[in-house]
Amino acid sequence: METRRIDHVTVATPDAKAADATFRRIFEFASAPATLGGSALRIGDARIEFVTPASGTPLAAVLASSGEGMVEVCLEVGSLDDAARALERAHVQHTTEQVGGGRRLRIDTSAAHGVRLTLIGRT
Amino acid sequence: VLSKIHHVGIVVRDLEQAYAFWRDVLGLPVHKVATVKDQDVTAALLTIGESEIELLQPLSDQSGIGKFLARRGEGLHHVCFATADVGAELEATRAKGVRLIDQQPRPGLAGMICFLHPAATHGVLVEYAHPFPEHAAHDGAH
Repeated sequence: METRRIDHVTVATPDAKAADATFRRIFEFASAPATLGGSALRIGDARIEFVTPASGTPLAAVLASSGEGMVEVCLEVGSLDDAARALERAHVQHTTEQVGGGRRLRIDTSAAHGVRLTLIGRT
Repeated sequence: VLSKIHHVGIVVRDLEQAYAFWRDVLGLPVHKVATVKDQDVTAALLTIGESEIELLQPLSDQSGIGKFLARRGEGLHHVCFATADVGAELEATRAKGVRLIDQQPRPGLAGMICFLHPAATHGVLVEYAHPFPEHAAHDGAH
């Protein structure tokens, strides 16, 4: 698998707008396009995304049990199809999701050592 | 100025088991492994583009990472931003009234480092790092 870079990390918080403002003030990051319905800031070739999970979603459960904080990492791969084949060869459970007109792979959290991990890339 | 995500820190029970996924399945090469005695942890840095994944295995239940593992299990621990001057960055952050863990930069696996208090950053544990020269040379190779 060709894993190219960290695309973004996601921060779950009850107030995404406030978290965005905090990171902007402390770290002076600029705005970036968001893919998860919240807001995002740019750092280098990656982004920090801030989301307030809708009630009843898995992220809302994480927020309720663990409090606000970093909840997910998204990596860019060279080819999603190649990545899916590599995951299957290694018997790593994963699912395919459609987000914002694009496709991404969500890897089973236990396989990724407790990390909510998604892969994006060319199909 | 914070230039990029230097690394994302992940707590794992066992580095060798973690390599089976992060190195062997995702294809991320391990470029540095070291034991940080004052934190009672063995850490591995795996290259991903201009950044890294840092896998942290506690060496005792009483270390900070060991307590994290016992309380929350394996998973995301911190995010580290790269800077050319960790001391200046720390001072600039302090001047904004941000709560800090480290009052001065100290040596760590990623270089000279410091941590901010997660209460100041919506639960996110943030580290600043200014890589040591040999690490910067590695960074420049990508």
